[in-house]
Amino acid sequence: MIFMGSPSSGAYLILLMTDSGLMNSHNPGAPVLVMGPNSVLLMSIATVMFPIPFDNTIAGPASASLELQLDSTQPPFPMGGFLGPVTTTFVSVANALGYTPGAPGNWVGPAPTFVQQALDRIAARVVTLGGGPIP
Amino acid sequence: MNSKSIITWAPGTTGTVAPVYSDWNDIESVVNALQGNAKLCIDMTGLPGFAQVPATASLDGKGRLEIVGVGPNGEAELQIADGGQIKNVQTWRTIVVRAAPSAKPPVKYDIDGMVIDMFDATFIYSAVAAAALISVETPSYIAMFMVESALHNNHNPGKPVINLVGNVVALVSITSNSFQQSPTQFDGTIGGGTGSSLNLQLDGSLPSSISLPGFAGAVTQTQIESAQGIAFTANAADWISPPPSNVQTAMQRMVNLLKSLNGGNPIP
Repeated sequence: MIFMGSPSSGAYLILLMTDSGLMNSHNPGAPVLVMGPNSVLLMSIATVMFPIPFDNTIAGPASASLELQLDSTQPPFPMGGFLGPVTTTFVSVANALGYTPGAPGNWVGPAPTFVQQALDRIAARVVTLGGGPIP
Repeated sequence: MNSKSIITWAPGTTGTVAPVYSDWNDIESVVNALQGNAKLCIDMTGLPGFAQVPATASLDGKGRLEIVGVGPNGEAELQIADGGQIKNVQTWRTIVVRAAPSAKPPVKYDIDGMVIDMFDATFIYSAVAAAALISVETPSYIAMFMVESALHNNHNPGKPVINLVGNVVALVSITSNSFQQSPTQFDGTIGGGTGSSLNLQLDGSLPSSISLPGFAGAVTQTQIESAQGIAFTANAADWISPPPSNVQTAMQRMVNLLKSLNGGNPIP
């Protein structure tokens, strides 16, 4: 188990994980990384190849806080043993993700070139067809 | 401190002093003495064109050797003459490896469980050739992480660049495919027999499918990026609050509505 933070003074730590994993497969449900009281952790998880689930591998008390930065290779995961606030940010964004229409004839004028544009245009059309905002 | 020895091969230069060597045979002697525990820098400052690895080359990196292009412009090119072979290199970085092999594959792996890293590494046939550029041979379970790297068979169309021989299990990840020649460049570049298996992991910089007609074994191909992990900033007015914040949710909500508008029928 990895312990981060001092029980008396807390700690502010940054953990950048690339092509890395936390595994509790041989100790199901037990956290691999435990944060101490009042500790703050900025944790980035990127380029998770040959994925290993991070489910329930991070724990900490209510006074600890965690800021997760995930790329598109790592969806959010459950952290039943972490009782503090968690902020999750996706570092991959739809307006940076290229889109090549499979059927350009489906679009009026220039077809969208990014997923963000495509979704916005589809959403606007769906709103019109549906007569109101999308549920 | 336990660090690798740094040695430099600078072909074409004169008056070199260790750990800089101009003679390939000296490089082999030093790497062998170090049991492969070295970082081999390829410096082409004294040489136009490709650094010529001789046909007599027989270098074994023993799973530890790093080969890195360093000069004069940060990237180096190796031309391995037919018959020469470099084995079990752990890391290839800022390097181009070129060959037209017939006698034997110029790059070979035969250590079980090896993890191989490639960054800005290009393996390219220089001409039509009978042997593969990279051969992975039994007993071998290997993991190969390719970042900003490429396999090219454009000078030897259809010929696999990597060949899995025997019952090899290969985990190959290919990511960050920037500044590459073609989105389909990896087509046909990995081959193997029926006893081999290949687990390909691709990010969004590669096409969702790579055609590998020369691979007769089992292939598992996974896109490692998911719509759930991609942020979407919605036009709030288009959505009943709260608007979706990722691509997966946005698509799912629109699909649900479209199906409803389509009389409850699935989307064609």
